[in-house]
Amino acid sequence: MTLAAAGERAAGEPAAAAPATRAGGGGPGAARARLAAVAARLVAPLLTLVGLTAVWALAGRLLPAYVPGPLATVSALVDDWRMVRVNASATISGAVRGWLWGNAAALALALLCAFLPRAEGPVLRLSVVVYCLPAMAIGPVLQALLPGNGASVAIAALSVFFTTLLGAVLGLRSAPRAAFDVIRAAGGGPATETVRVRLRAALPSLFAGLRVAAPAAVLGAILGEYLGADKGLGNAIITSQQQLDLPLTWALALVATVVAGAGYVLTGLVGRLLAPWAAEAVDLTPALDDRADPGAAGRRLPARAARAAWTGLASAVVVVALWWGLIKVFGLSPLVAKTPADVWDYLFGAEQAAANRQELLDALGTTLWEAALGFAAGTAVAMLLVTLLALWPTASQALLPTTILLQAVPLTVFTPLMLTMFGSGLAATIVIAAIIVFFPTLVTVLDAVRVTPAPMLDVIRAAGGGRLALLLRAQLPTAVPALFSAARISVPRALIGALVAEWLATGRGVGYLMLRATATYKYHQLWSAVVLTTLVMVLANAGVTGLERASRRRLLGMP
Amino acid sequence: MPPPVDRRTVLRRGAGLAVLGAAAPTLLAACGDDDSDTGSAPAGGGGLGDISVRLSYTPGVAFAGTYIAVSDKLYEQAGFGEVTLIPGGPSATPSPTDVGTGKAFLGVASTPDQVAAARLNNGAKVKIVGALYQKNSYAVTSLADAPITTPADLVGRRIGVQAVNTTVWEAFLTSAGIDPGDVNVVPVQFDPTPLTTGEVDGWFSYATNEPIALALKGFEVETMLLADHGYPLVAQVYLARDDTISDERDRLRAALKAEIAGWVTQVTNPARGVDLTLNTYARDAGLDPELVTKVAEVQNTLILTSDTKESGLLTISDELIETNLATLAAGGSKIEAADLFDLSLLDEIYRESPELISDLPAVPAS
Repeated sequence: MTLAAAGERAAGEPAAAAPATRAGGGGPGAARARLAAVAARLVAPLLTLVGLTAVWALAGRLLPAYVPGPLATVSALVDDWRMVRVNASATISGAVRGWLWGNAAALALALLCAFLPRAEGPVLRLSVVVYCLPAMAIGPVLQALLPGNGASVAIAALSVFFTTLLGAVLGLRSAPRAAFDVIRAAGGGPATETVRVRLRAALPSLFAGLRVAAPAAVLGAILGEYLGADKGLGNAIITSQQQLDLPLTWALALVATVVAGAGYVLTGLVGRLLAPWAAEAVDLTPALDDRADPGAAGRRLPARAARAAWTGLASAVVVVALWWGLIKVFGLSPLVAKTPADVWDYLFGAEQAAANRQELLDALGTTLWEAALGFAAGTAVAMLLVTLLALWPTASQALLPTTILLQAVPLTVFTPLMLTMFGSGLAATIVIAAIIVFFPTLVTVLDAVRVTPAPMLDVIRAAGGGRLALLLRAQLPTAVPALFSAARISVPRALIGALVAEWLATGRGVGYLMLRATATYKYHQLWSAVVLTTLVMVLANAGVTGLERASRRRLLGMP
Repeated sequence: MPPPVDRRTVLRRGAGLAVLGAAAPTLLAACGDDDSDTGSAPAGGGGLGDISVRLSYTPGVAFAGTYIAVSDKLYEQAGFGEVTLIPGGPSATPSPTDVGTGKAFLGVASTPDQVAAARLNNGAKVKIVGALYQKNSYAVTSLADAPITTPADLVGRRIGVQAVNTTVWEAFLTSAGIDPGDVNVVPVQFDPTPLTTGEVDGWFSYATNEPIALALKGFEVETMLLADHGYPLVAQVYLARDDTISDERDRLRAALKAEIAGWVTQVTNPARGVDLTLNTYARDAGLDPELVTKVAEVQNTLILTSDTKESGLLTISDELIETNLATLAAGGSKIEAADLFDLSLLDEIYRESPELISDLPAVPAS
């Protein structure tokens, strides 16, 4: 049997293979098929790896000033192994601590939501705000307020918080109603319910969140190291770049990637060990606010808009209260920690308020434009690939695991390298934002395409439609809501990608404005920029959520 | 439907989780050893308590004197307990912020304009109490076959300038009489590759960093020091809070004296700081030994000049203070000498310990 055939077979028969396993083995034919499927799963990433290395080697030949060859990189890794190891363990230590803190907070809040369903809406809305905070910009503030490498840990914690919370909440929510009835009938209370049913049901979704959190924590720790640290991969990369040591810079970036990827794979393995009943892929993007606003579907548009405005206002009040409260409770230095009143004064009260607003809005406009172009480019490339993969499912089966793994690459580590390669113009920002957008879109839409309802496909096949017709008439339309689901995750990410690119070098937009504000002690401006950027991201997120809901109603007839 | 996992399996996996859970605090503790308290409250040591010092950039030979002061126990002998060195970085909070908030007791900032900006733009009550480099090492580096040797050469050229340095850059152009609009600024980071590939014609940086790295990689470079062209700012300035200067004079004086003694050792024996940098304080930074040695050599010419040979390291002559204020004013930061500098502590130190001046070696040739 060829590899391709094995892949196709594995792709076509997941449902058939699973019961066979449970029943205790099946015949020798089934065993051979499983073996071939496993082999295909191992070989495909390996082939991709070989392909990537070949592209890398070619790039090294063509652009020797920018890209060191794989051999030179590996030899730098071997030569400086002790130094690489020490810095990698410093980064891992920061990432692990951030991972623990961020996840602990997320799990605590998720449990709160499970016991107190009414808290879920507000908690999720507030955590969207946390997700939308530009970590790079608040980094210097965190650094000024926290001891040691606390800022690095805090950024890592902030990076993991949202996905874990989302995974845990969705998981705890997914427990079947019937199971609760059984426990109640047997005399069990809410505690038993939580332990027996909810936690178990939550594991697959929770681990889907934790898996994404692992590379996010590594990336967060590295970003934190750019702020100032004794050691760490971030530090080592800065130094080697400054010393023009190209191979070592790439070696360090590669190690960062491997560390992040290992976190991703390990979490996945632990998840599979603890919850072997979990499906391969868990969609983390279902509508966030289904539960928060159960009556939404039944209401008319004006009523929905009024309600959205009301919850938005309430969330804003809570955020402002928390912001003020944290400053007061911890007695944060007014030199760095500006209050909502300070920001209001900067934007509306001060003499130059109009000029202040204009400067911020101009910069924000640039950033939004660049992020939008990046978002469009990333989505377009992802859709192109989805189309190709849907037309050739065999290739899809082979490529998908690798693609998912590539999601774990800590892109920001490569940002300075990309800026060196693409220059510091518009292209660099777009490329960075596009790559960040590309992966969630590809994975989410591809999943949606694969689960297109069978009757729909049958009807088109019966009418004599080929693969292209299937794709155009059934698969892509079904995938439109998934596209919006992905957008909900990737719109803020596109903005953050643009911010990071601006921050690290292009010298335009609100990312650069924030950097300059820090360097020139204009903390009023920094805080105002953070508030404005976060607000725009939250609104963008809400807008996309609305579009997603509308598309689900229209295209799939779902509430 | 049969349960996918039997009870025993769950128990076994639960035990696995418990082991993970038990390991987590140990892991936290193991990772948490660098979380020491950085506050300036007198705690351990011989009466002056623990101290934290904020450095201006990532660990390197630029802080050799500080490293010597710590490892030769100069801080300890002065009565301090634990010394915490807080590193900087390319996106770090500026030093004056860490000193202003009290996170650090003493700080080193790259240039006086940072301190002036912190005071003028954000009301940070911090002052310069000494300057290590008598002139700043900001420079524009160009390739030798298309050299930039005077500010006039900048007109119409593409110059790579880092975001954090734009204020210095614009102040320099203004004081050199060049319209900033006549120079094409390309935003860059700290990787000087764009200069080697011809994307930019000039590179803004410290003379003690990228130009030396480029030369060691075999590029022939021309370096134009800003200090030689109408931008005579001092650099690597020590700073402290106003209330520290008035209320904690003894502690501050003791700390400054330890720093000075460390730097006296470093200008006398630069190999000492190179060794401490490479083998202790920046051991894992991957620094190039040749580069560090060269930087230490160049650095000594900025620290030990005919002025400081006579009046002591870190001192700033009245004339130099005047030119610094004029330069800052030209760049838009108008500030009085008394609001930016307080060198009275240095006077007291040198009156008390004149050997810190008499022990200085001959002024190195620059």
